[in-house]
Amino acid sequence: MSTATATITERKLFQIQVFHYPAEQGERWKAAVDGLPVQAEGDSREAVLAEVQQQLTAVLSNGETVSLALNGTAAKAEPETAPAEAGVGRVGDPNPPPISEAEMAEIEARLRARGFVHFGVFKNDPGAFDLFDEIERQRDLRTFGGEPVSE
Amino acid sequence: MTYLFDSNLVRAFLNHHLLVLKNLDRKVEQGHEIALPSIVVAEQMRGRYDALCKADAQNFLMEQTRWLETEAVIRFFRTIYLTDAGVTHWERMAQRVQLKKRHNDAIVAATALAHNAVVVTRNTKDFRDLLPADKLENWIDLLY
Repeated sequence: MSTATATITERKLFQIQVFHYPAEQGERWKAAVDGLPVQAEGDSREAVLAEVQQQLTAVLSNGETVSLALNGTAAKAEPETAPAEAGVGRVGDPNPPPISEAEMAEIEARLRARGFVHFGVFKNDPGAFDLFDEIERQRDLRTFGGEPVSE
Repeated sequence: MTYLFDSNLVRAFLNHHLLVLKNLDRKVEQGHEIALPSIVVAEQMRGRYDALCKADAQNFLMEQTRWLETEAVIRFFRTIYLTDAGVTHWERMAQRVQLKKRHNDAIVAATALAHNAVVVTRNTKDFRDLLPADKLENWIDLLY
């Protein structure tokens, strides 16, 4: 699988999942857009991407994005933060089995043997993590695109 | 493959996060490398220097210890620096992306793109539009 990017009007970008697999004659290609009813199948990468772009344009011209407040009234769409998406990033197991003490001991031993001796070094020093809150705050202050963050 | 820890992964690593350590163990066993983007290193050191410079007599030694521990961690991991190619990626992001993004997130993403690395972060939604899905992993909530 690979990922392609399609540009629709107003330079809006979409991540497109592209798959290909062997077929009786050559190979077949599939493309799909996460979160939208858009997918295509064809004989070439170019063909499925063109089809997806055409479908995307059609879908977007007939739809709108709104945010619903708890009382059910439509609120102004928030442009600053991308909505949380379960599909962002590589797929991993969201329900991993519990890690037993014995397994953890084995993991720690292997890591230490490879030189990873600093994991958990601040485990008993909560104040040491204030730094990370400050890092996030500083990152929020320096942005591009959309509206600037008020200081 | 090189995996670049974002700041929140450094935090989880230092806090003995079980799933992070399990993912780390798996990746290292598979021969992958864990590294830090230079901007993450800079953020860590700036924070520790600031805390030390502001410390009073009651907490100077504690802050000094945190600084030394942080330095040791940073020395252990390889630092991956932003290159000319990375700067180009960063500039293109600033021109292309319309949603509000944080510059330091973009620098992390650009470093990954320039070095064909994977960013490991819990804030995957912040990297939406900056990185393709196969360059992004969340070791805090997902097992790989």
